[in-house]
Amino acid sequence: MSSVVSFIKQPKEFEYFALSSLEEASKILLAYGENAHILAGGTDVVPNMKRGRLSPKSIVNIKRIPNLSYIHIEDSILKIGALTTIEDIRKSSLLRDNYQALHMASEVMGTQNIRNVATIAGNVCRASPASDMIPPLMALGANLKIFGPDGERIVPLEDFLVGPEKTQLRIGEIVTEIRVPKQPKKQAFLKLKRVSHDLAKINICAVFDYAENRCSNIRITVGSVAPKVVRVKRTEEFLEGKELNDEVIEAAGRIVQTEISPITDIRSTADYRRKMGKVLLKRVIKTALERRVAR
Amino acid sequence: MNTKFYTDISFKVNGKQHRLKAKNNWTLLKLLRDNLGLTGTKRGCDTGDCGACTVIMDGKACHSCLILAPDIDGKEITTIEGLSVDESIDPIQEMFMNGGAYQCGFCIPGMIMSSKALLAENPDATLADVKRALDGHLCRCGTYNQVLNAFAVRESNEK
Repeated sequence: MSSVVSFIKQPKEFEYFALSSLEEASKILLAYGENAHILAGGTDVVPNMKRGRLSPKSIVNIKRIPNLSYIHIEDSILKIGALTTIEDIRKSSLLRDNYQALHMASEVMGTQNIRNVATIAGNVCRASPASDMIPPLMALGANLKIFGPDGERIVPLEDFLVGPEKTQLRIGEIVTEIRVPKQPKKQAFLKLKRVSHDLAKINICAVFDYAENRCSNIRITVGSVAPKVVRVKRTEEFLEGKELNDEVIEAAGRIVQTEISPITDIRSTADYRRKMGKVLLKRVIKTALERRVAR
Repeated sequence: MNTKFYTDISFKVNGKQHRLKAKNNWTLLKLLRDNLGLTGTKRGCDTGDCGACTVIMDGKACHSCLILAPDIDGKEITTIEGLSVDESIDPIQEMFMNGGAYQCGFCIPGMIMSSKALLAENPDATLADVKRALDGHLCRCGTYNQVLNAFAVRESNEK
């Protein structure tokens, strides 16, 4: 991220296309190549155009493409349309009752009027290391369905994210759906921030099954502590199969601290983030165990 | 004027139909204030962080500073001006007035539009719902408590 102070100006002029089909949108994206940018909710694209960080020659609005906004379970897989807004996710009783990690993230992402228009695929494709929606999706083992000039492909989210604000999305491609194949019984997501609007100082997600006092299939992701959202695999390996008592969680918290590489920035210090990694690990596991039911 | 940077749009604001040629890099906020003279909607941060520019578009409260002008084609928009017709005012405006929920007034149109969208969808909104719905609004004068009080008074009046 560059300077704290950025001057807000009218975006540089551009051509605008609003398409009603994936095929049409893909054609225009191919034609303009690096000079085109997809517009969905726009809550990130538009401010960045005003800050001069993005200057596309063509904006490709995909919001008029039908059938890209839905939340349902099909063949035991949770499928969420790319244009589903964060507010749709927050309002979904299916997600509130069965995918708490995702639902809890939608409650603390941005602010109300951002949630009303921001889309889940937009958040994923922006690939911010501080994303609130990526940690739960990654912990839940999400895949992305992507439409492109060469047909459709399915990519695991973990592979899709290449670096800070960098994804595998090729020119001409559009993410159409997010799929979550697993439904762990215990899930929670926590975000540490200063004020309502803020990006996370650090956020964390834990999902696992828990039977006979032992956890299994535990996956933990942490955001805002590395160039990408990270899966803390050594912590997961340590916890797998164990009883989640205070001693175990305490030890796991110390391992988490060695798997993250936070920096000092405008929102927090590396030191505080590292300390809070351990605290949040404890809190997120306890929250998941208590199976909090959202408002 | 290079027409490839402009889009013909047709849309409604406060019930009135408009047709014009919008420059693609204009925002809805600029269009409302500068082209339509509806200056009740304010430019605070211009980046979606303060809520002062909030309008209701197709039923959803959103930041007009984040909406590109061509994107409003076919949409219906309500601004603060749309809440008071002739000499009447909206019950929400009356609630804010009675609660003394304003000082300089700059942030208030935005707060009122978010409140309007909330109550239209959920007339039984609790204070927790109000806090969430208004979580994107900044007030430099610090009227937050007065705003919440205005809702609290309304809530107890309804009981």
